[in-house]
Amino acid sequence: MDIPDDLNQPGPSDRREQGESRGRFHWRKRWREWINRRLPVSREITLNQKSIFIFPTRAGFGFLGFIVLLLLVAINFENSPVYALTFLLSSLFVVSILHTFSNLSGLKLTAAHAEPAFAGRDAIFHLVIAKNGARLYQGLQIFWPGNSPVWCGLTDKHEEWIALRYRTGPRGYCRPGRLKVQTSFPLGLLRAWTWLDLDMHTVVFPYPAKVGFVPPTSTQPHESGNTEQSGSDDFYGLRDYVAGDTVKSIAWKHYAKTDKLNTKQFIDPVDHRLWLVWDDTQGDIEHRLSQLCYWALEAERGHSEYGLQLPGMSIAPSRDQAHLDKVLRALAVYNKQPLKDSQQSNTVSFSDADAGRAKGANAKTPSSNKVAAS
Amino acid sequence: MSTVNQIPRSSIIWMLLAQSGVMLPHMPRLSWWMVAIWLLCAAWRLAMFRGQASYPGTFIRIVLVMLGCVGIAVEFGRLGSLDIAVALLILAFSLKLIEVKERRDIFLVLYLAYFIVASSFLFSQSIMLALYQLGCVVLITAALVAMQQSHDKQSALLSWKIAFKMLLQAVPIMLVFFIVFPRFGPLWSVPSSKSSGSTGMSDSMSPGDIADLSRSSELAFRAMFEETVPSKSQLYWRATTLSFFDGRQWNTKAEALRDDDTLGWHSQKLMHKPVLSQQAKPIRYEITMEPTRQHWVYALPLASADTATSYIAKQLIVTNDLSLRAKTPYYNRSIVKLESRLDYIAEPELGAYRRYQETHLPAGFNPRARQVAENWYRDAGSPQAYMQRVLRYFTEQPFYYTLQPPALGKHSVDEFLFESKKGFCEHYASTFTFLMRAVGIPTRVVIGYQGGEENPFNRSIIVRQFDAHAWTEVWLKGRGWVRVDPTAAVAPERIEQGLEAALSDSDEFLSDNLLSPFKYRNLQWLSWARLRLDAVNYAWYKWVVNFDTDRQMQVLKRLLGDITPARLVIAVMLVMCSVLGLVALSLLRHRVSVEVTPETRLYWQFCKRLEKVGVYPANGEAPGDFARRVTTQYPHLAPQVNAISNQYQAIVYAGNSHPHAVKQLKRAVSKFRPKKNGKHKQRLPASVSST
Repeated sequence: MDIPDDLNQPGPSDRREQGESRGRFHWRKRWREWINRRLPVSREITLNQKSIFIFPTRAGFGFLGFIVLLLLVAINFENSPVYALTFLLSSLFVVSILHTFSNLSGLKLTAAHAEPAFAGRDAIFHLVIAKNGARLYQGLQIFWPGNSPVWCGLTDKHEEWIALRYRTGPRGYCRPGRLKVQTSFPLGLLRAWTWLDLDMHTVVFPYPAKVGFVPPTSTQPHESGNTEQSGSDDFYGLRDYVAGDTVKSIAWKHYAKTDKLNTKQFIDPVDHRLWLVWDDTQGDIEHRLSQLCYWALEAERGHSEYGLQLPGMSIAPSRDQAHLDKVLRALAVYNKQPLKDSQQSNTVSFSDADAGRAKGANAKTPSSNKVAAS
Repeated sequence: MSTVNQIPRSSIIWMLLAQSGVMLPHMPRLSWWMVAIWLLCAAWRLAMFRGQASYPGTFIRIVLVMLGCVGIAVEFGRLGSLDIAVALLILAFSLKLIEVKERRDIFLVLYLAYFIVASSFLFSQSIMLALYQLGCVVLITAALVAMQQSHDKQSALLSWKIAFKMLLQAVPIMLVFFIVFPRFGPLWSVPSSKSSGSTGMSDSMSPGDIADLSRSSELAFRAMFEETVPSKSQLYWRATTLSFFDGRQWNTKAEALRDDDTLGWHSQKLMHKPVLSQQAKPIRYEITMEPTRQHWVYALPLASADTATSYIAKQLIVTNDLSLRAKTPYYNRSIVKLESRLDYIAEPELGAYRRYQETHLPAGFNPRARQVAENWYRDAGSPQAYMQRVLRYFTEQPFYYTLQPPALGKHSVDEFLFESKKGFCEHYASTFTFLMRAVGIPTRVVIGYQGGEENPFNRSIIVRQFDAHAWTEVWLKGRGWVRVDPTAAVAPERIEQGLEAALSDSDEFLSDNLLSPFKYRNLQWLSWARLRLDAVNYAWYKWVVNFDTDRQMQVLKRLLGDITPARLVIAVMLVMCSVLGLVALSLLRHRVSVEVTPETRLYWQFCKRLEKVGVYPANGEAPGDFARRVTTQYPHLAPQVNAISNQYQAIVYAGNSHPHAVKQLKRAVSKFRPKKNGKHKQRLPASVSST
């Protein structure tokens, strides 16, 4: 998760082309149904002949053209060494089919955790590629269409962790869909690939919208007293020492015991807790959420605890990374249908994601589309 | 996606290497400025690689292209269009270097490199070149592999290994294709190279011509007999006959007589059918012709194309003088199958015009020789006796066989016969013919080769330029044309043992060629190596270079027994499937060749169990670091995790590989069943804390 530093950059947008014709949509649907039957969703998959597709690349077709040219030279000059070269290169092409195929076959891919992202930023999905035997895997490309590929391979190691980037669309649940794993190793003449749904998903936080003012401090009276708030200069707990903490606040006794620098944390007697409240924001839903997101980030940067109030839900004030995550997640999924169990109704979630994208695309101007797509 | 099309830096080096490799065999054919253009482009590319230069502008590129094209037009214009085509190919290949911007440009350059390899075979098909170019093919293929590997930071050695392995696997399939692919003639006529010069017989003979030829040890041709090899004194390989003398030079056709067709040259041509002997079984043999750029086929007398091979028979003509002529000159090395009958009568009847042709001498030359000839003939009485008289003169007088005879003036026969008495075979042949014709006996000069060296490794006869020879044929009534070799009278060892023996008194044999292995024939091992190499070369030409329809049928018959389409298809499928099956098996088999120690396997098991609570060892994370991360995230697991981790580290790093220690680890791991503590159920990924 990377927190945007420059909040003036353009926000999320959808890269999906807008005018998708009906016929194309139909074929897309057919294709999805077919591939879902053939390669069902799974968190872990070992590639085999059922999951690998293979076809010559453009360079491969060029190579075949060159072979035809060589054959013409051989025939016309009745030149045996040229014949031999022609046949050697064509056999090389045939053999390279097996090599390219085997460069994917037997590869095990396992989905790991995913990191959430702010809308329009890259979400990072972790996955593990692993092999069983002594075979080498080289020149693998893993990517979602439209995102830059990760090049990887397994030569001396038996498994490798891969961090994949996926440029997120609008706020909400994010399910990037089928992942492409491809290779044109060893000669670049053929490409073997597969489309995998490793059931990887994450949430997309709203893009923080910079509003003119800092979050309003404690305008709301809090309903329930907090048990942790017991009084002035009350010791609250220890946390890891961070450069910049005053020497006074270091827990020296603790240091003597454990050899670890910790900082004592105290609770201010004054109630500085913030409430990030839906009603304080303006505009449409997305804009309001973006504002709240910005406030949450600012509040985390500050010194006060903060809570969140959305219509129908609230989160009690606190302040740490986990709390921020909780708040951002709440903002991300507000008013969104949760992803259904993707194992069973994969197509539904697909079309849901499509619908969401389409909505997002309609809201955006074409120019912003272009910026994000580039 | 720009990263996909970007050129990996290592590929530039590979590309330059591959290019240098394939350019090398073409170097002798290229002129200095083409090499200069190539070096300039390569240097520019290197400078770009180092970031010291940028892509050249359009102007520079256009200038380079124009310069190159003009240069080629000037330089190669006089040569055949094949040379121009190859020169253009190489120019484009050089200039493309400074234009390479994307991956597909590299593909193009490497494909062109394959093409340049092929083009070098149009000029030479020697086994050495083929082996060298095979290395180049591995190099180009390795460059292709390296381009796909560039993201893995692999060593160059691995690219080589993969390329080599793939080519090795491709070879059996190539062989199948090579053997079964039908060989048909050219689809359209193509230019052949005119650049390669060759030494050999010409269609005329003046004094000194054959002596010049004899200074070279170049291969003239090769013969392979099906059964026994005739004795050396019978190995007179005829090229053509020379019947027309202008006082100095012997020619196949006389300029002066060419218009005399009114006398019926053409009609007489058909009249002299040779009468064959009773020799039922001809000698069968193959001649491997070198590119002589001539029509003649070197053959033992009374040769005809082997009747078994109709393909070759169509291309050969038996001429009036019973020599063999191919319809097209030999620009490439090729094999002809022949049969000869050594016992024959040729042209039993000689018509008036033919007699005139074969006895014609220009007036005003060599008066002394004519005078002496008439005296001798008068004394001898018969043509046979006269012939013996002349040959006796050569034996009795101090005639000397030498490669370096003195220069002769206008009356060359007179000077040779009565003054210098030093000459090479052409002097003796020419003089003998003159003396015969002077008294009206039809005689002609025959040029060709005599003898040859037998290679014990494959029983082939190797004939070299220094075996070039000239002798005569005399027409005798009732016997037709009879071979008479006046040189045998002077230097019989020339015929029995070859030129080297004939010149053994002097240093004349290959005197310009000190390093020639033929000079040191008495060195056993050198001779052995030379003949071995020659046998390999011959096999290469016979089975690979000259693999034509006949050879193909021969091989297929041997392999399949009977050639039917069904058998052919089954055989091809069988070989292809078994080869590809084996390759697939070796590729796809799951081999666990990395020896995993038991403690590592236990540690993997430990990590696998930890996956259940959602922690994974990060890439390259040491066991200690991983344990620390796990314990901070799940403090309740700390005792177990630390114990296992410490035990493992003790075994692996401290060298405590006592079986007891491993057993202990095994116990600890098997007991380890991590569970998520409800309190710590958070979905924050581990790596967030590190960012």
